[in-house]
Amino acid sequence: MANILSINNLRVRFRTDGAVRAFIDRNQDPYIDAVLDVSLSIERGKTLGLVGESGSGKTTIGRSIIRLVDPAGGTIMFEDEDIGRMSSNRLATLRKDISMMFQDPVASLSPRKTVGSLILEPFKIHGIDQINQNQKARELIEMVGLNEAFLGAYPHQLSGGQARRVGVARALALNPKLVIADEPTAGLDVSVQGEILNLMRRLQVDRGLSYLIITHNLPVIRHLSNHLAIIYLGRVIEIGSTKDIFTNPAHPYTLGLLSAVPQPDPNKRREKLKLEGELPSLSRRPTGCEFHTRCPFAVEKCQQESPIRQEIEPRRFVSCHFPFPLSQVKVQTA
Amino acid sequence: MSNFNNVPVIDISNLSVDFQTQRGDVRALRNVDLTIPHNKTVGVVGESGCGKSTLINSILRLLASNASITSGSIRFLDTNILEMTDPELNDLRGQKISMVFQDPMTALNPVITVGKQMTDILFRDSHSRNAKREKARDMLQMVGIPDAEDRMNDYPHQFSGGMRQRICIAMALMMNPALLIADEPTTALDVTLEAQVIHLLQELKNSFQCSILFVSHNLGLIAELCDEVVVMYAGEVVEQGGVFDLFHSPAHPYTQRLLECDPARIEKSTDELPTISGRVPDLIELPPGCIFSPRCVSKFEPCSTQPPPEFVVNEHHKVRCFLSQNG
Repeated sequence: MANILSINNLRVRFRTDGAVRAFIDRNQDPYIDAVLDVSLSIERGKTLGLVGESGSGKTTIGRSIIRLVDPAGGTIMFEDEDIGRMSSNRLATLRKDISMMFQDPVASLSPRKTVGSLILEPFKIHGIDQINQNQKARELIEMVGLNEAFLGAYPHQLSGGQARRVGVARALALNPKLVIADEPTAGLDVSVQGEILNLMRRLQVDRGLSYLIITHNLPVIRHLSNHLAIIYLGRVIEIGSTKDIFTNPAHPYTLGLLSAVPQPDPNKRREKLKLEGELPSLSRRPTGCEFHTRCPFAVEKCQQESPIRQEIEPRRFVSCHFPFPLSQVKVQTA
Repeated sequence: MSNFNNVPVIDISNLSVDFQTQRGDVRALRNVDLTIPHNKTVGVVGESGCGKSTLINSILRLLASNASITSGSIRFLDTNILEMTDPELNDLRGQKISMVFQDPMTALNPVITVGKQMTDILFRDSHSRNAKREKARDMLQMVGIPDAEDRMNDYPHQFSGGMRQRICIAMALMMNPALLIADEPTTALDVTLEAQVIHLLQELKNSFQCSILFVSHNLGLIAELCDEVVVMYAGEVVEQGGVFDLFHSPAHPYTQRLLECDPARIEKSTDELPTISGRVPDLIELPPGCIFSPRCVSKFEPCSTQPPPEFVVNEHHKVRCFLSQNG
């Protein structure tokens, strides 16, 4: 099985203090690691879900794949090239092959441009002018299930779902191979959410696209992805097939996330919360296993030693000293 | 409030609200009936544009200037809110009815410390500044802010999103209101924090003996928190009832479809998620008959000609749908 993208030991750092501040504070290392030792891969034509709380670094991973942020270490192999070492010329053409759907659909569209010119913008940016513009715009808008009449509309005239569809049309305009979708359903109603996901799925089958979907919406990612990577404090703590993770979470954090999803059934009300507290600060990472501060099962070993990544079944990795044995935990997820 | 234990906190009957626009009158709410009993949590669920916000703004009399209330009444305990004078309204807002908004960052003032913002709410009280500060500190502790004493000197940006929403809840409860309105209070939060905030609301409701009007489009949260549920569609209440009735035996096709569409409820992994076909109707030119009929899969003879009256399924469970006509 060929991977379209494989990331190895990716590290992304952000500077926290300027040179002067760092000198005054005698801070030798004024950086935080937003992403640390992340390894994951996306199979061609498949979908990988990236799940974690806000601030866990999932968007940063997505942005480093198209080099909107520069990695500090590790490799990002797209087909046979390392994205981290690409020249700026090559990067410009790379962004035809990897496109991004941004988080806020309305904010990512310029308010002064019509939908028609927004959809044709990718062609302009990449200097592709040998196309019949009107026909192309019509093709694209129909592909995402909107009427031609929308080509003359401005972004403020669109509903959230329609703006999303325009975002999909823009992302797919240049026939990319990989699409990175950052929270594709945030802020949408349940009925509209289904429409967008069905559209994305249909286009994936038609065009053989690979997806990286960044989200914290677990019920949605369950139906949309083949594989899942759970991110905590910039590290992958569990990775495997979506089905296995949902039926048998091995990491206590994964279990906590899954059981935090409210079930639309008053008989399934939760008496006790599995996951208390909040994400610790990246500038003061906990010792040992970084999840031990919130883990209900933590013992002394967890505070001192960092867990190593272990393969508990083929292609299923988890970083925990005491992962749940397979097929013992039963989560109440519908 | 002990005298009012049997009187509903809010009793809305036959409320209709129009907005005057250049294209014509938008009939944003039509004949809405809703009661919030004492010490109960009532959930309002519906998609964007169904009138949830208009409903809240009517209760607080915060409607835009082009809105007019064309019929109905909103009773708060024993008084009609629609007949209140401005000083009476000032007394009501923030003191007897308070509100938690969607986005805690925009609800808090970024240039004033949290402690100051919290004590400012107590401007009606004649207590000393120290007493007010103590009360604010106690409230912050109650909502789970660690080191409350020190953190009162911090500004909103120094708190995380979850903490900010806790602060907003603490502020809303400072005056011991009879009703707390929560407008999608967890949309800006992660699932883990969302669960914590919902848990907090449950605990606080019991210790403060207040009623909660909880507005959300997340069916899971409604099921978790509410005693009674009101389903709104395009400006109408289409179904209302106890939370068990509504989730286990929904009577209105819209409620049924809404529940089917929730990905959290779909047991098997599926390639094709269910959707509700069609769009919410234009509220300027309303279709004759049932408002949901253009999108309804089980419509029949009377649906497209006459609006359905309210049918009673059981004492607390009411639905506007001809399917329930014969019991």
